[in-house]
Amino acid sequence: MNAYTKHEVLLSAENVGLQYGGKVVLRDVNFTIRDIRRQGINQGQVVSLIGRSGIGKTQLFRILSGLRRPNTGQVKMDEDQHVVQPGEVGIVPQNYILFNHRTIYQNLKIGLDSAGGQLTEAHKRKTIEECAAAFELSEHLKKYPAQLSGGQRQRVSIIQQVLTGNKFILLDEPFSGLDVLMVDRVMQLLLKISTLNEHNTLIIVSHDIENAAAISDMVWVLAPEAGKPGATIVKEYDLCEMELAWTPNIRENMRFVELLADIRRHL
Amino acid sequence: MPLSDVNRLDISFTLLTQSGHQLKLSLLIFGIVPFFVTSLLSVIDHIHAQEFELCTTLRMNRWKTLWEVIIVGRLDQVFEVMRQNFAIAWLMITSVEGLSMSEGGLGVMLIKANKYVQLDVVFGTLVIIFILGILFDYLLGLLRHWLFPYTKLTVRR
Ligand SMILES: Nc1ncnc2c1ncn2[C@@H]1O[C@H](COP(=O)(O)OP(=O)(O)O)[C@@H](O)[C@H]1O
Ligand SMILES: [Mg+2]
Repeated sequence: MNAYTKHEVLLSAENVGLQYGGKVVLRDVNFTIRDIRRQGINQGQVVSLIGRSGIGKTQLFRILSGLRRPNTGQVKMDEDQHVVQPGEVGIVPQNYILFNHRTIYQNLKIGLDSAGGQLTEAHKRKTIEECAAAFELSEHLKKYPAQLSGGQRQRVSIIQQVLTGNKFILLDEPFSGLDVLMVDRVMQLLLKISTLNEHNTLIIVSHDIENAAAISDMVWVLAPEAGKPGATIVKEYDLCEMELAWTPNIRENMRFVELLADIRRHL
Repeated sequence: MPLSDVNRLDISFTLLTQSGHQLKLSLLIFGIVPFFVTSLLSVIDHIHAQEFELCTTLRMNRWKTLWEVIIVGRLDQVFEVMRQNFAIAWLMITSVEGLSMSEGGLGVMLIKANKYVQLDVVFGTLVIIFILGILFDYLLGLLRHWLFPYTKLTVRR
């Protein structure tokens, strides 16, 4: 049922290292995200980098977005594998920052404007309204960010990044600070985005093993290695191969529960 | 500041400026600028770096970023700074007006009444100054809400 094939490399981190003063935060981080294809569906990619607090996830997030240069190594993207530049990867930081002096509609429009394109104003309005309807934001378009709940602002932030036309979207701790219901909703939202386009790729950086793994097709564990400074990838789980990807009610699956326990051991 | 000091300032400022009107204006401006500049710098200093990063990832160029974050994004706070500075200017106006009596004004009324020990007039003038000050402040507050409806909404971080 879940037949799939893996193809070209979409994004790769090569020997990424980061130091602050003499302190090594990240060391030799290597991973590759490949295009996954499935029959009859635009199957995008959802990957997670999991690690405990303070391990360097947010720093890695900044490096992957191109906002920060690593001290060693590089992050490359697309078929030509060029070094990632700021603006090529969408970001949803932990506190979902928006322009507070703009309405939700205007915030989304700024995202769409940066997609360039020769869309007319009327066409842009239509696109935003359709998008808002699809992601349950229609009633909030005229409000300001401060009038929305945290979860709603997060949705706006995610959709703003989708509208910029970026295929890659990085999310820092997307499940923290949300109640159980909102966590489910953001997971639905992310899954929906991941199937909008064949190349859409969501990169989740989180300490929340269960929620991150539940929607991912790849999981990498960031942790320190015995006797060496800094965090690196200590374990890789291919959830497609384990037949744990794209499965509803995955949490009730015993093998998924075992997977979580295994990830926890490596943290 | 005490009146004697103001008088000394008066002499040096009259050397620099021609008319009494100009003198009043330049004294006011000299008094306000330091407050204004430091408040504005503090507004800019409090902009979160993430807001600029958002602009970067939205592929906005430098000018668009400057426009969006510093100009449009902080207009309401600049307005608030102006409102506070207006309050300071309002306090200064009585002493500044006293420097050039021929121009007249509330400050002149106050100083004259004080000189002739007309305490009822002094008190009345003070009340007028007070009420006008409150009224202007209230009107500016209303204007701010009308211009920037998001202004009192702060985001919990
Ligand atoms: N500006 C900085 N200067 C020095 N050390 C820093 C700085 N920013 C982050 N760090 C260090 O990097 C490490 C990782 O931080 P972070 O990426 O925020 O962790 P996480 O997101 O996994 O909780 C922390 O141990 C912190 O001490
Ligand atoms: Mg973090």
